[in-house]
Amino acid sequence: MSERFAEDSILVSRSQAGDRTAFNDLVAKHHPRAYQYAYRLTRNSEEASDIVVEAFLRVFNALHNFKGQSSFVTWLYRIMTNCYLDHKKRDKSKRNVSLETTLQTESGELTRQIIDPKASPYEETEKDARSIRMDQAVNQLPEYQRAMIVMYHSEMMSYEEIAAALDLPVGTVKSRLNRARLSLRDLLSKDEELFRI
Amino acid sequence: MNQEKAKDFFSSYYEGSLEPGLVQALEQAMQRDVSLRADYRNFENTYEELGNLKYEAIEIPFDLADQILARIDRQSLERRNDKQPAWTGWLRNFAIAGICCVAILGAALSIRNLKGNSAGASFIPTPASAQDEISVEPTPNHAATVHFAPASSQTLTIKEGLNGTDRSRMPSDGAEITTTLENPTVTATAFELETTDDARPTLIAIPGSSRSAVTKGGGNMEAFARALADHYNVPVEVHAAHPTVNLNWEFKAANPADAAKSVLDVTLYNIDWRANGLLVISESAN
Repeated sequence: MSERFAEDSILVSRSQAGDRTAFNDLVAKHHPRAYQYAYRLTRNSEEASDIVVEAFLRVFNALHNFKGQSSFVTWLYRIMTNCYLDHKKRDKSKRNVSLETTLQTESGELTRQIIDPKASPYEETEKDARSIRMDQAVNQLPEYQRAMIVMYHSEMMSYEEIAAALDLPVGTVKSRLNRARLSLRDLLSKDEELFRI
Repeated sequence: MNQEKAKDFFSSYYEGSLEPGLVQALEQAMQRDVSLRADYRNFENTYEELGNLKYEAIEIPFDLADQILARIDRQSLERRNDKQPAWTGWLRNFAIAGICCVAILGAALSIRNLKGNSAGASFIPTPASAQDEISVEPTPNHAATVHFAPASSQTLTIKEGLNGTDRSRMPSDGAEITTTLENPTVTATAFELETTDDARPTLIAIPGSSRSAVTKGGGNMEAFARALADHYNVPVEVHAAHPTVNLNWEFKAANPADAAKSVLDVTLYNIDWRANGLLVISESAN
């Protein structure tokens, strides 16, 4: 990557000067990592793509305000996290649909079909059951805790980097992550059978 | 140290970053309290499981970068349209009406000429291919000049992309017609040039104002021409008998000709990168 693209700081300052090619390079360089983060948060490829597109649009619009006090990647993570939280907020406001209701169509009444978000039996056999349980447990965490867990354990960010990305003191990040891990332990211990060593 | 307080230190203890005094206090508490010890063992297991998250392989959608750039372009375009004063809409409508009038007049004249010529025709002309009749010259500012010199009366139709809507129809009684194709957008745009006698259309892709960093993609010949134009910032002319052929590409070559050769079968396609910057891809007639 570093051979093909210039340093972030160079690409950012060229983009701020109106060089669209430099901005395109920033997109090409960072969109895979951004997508991985979004996918790990949402576990849904469509949602993850939406979040990444929205995040880069925000980056494009706010790039002139970026002062370089943190790294571009840290700033991108902050924007990605905000997009994810906004996305979830919108999702919650849309989700209040009764399961009992039916859909009226031209050809009559249809029973609403709800898609089961859980992994299919095929996926269950394909993927290690323990990691599926872990995914499900992470998905049950509050969004903010989920973002922190993904940043630390999947994206391999340090406490300091997470603190910079979320604009929080390092101590707060550490204590919230500890709480998130304790919550995960509680969720996973419900499935004692699987996790007993 | 009570149980709740002790749990606050689990992460730091596991990571080895807890102060020595607190380590001692926590270990003493765990020795005294069996359930706290069991709690910590579970916590350790969870932490270890979390360590596996980083190994998960996630496939990136191949067109994600395109989606991002297209969304940004759409926003730029919307903003530009919002800024345009209302009278520009009227001006555009007048311009379209003017072009239509010229086209109708031209068509009428060419029909009259056709009728006039047919009586005295002593031979049936062999239709020249569009490739021979159309020549393209790239010009600065993301445009290209098209010269259309048919051997007989013909109409040149310019469409927005492959099988797209008609942009203009220009009849010619054999005299040369010159027109300019412009691309004011950020990304590459393709035009299809169709002549009355030739079933094989000519595609012209003109780069936009910005060069794309996207290297991977898939699609038909039009999408391929646009991707080449976008990535290498060159105009591309394509003569293909099968323009809907499905292609997949990954640009690794330093120049557009080599990139095209890496994707297309060179026994079927002739690829010529001309001195004026135009990349010409021609599918052999066979």
